[in-house]
Amino acid sequence: MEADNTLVQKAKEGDVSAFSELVVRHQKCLLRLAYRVVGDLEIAQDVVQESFMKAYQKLSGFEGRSAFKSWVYQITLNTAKNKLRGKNPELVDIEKTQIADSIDWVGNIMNGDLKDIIQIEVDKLPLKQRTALSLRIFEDLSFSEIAEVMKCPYDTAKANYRHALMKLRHTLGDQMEVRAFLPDDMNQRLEADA
Amino acid sequence: MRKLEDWIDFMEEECTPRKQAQLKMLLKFSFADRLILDNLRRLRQLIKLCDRADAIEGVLSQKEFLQKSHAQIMEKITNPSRTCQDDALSPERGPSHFPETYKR
Repeated sequence: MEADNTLVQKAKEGDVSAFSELVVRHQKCLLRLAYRVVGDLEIAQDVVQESFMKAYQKLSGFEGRSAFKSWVYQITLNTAKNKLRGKNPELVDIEKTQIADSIDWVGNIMNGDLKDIIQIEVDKLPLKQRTALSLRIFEDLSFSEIAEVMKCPYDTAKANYRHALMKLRHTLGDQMEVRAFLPDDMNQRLEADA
Repeated sequence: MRKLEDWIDFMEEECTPRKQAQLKMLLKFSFADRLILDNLRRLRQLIKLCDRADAIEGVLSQKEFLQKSHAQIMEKITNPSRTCQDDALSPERGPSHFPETYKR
């Protein structure tokens, strides 16, 4: 299998099938990435189409200092954010978007809505922290790759991830009783210590 | 007890080898720190299980969907002036550079 960089080089020289192969390789991940931002499959498809178009148009300017994957992730994230602003004017200030805090945690857990609770809490994170968290946990990117995608220093990418995790730990841990996540033997040990 | 940041770095294997060794040693003796690390790992697992994009996994696993999506992208790239209606490509009208992976 040819490396992305080889395909990029071929595409730069006018080989459309090389770019086509890059689309095959990355479209699925990009659709997931876009969907996480916009929350709608059709819009996510538009975002990915637009992102690949932009990537193709700007390909001659891509010098390969970062991986093609990081570069196209970056384009997709920016396109998705812009799309979200365009489609939902009320969400312009997405960094500050807050969802109601008054959640009946215990009730929700009892009703099996843990997934919803976590998704809501993740959505409440500032965009940069949410992006770092998503790229790390869902996309398994290294912090160097995250820094490339987010166009920020390595330490900033790491700090955003840390803050996201610490916030979630604080919110979910405090409110949902950390012990709910623990295996029985550890809970027994905790009780014994107490 | 160590700072939470240290355990996040430990979990993500982002510590220096020296610090990693120190923290490993600490885990042997400190139940409180083991608890913090365990909670962090569980939280990470939980977040991973709550990927919003899981909702579209069924669609993304359909070869036809990816084929059509790919065809639309390539059509826009090779023929950017086409209208949205033209995007409704049938698989038969797919571009000639359609990759072999989708032809199978």
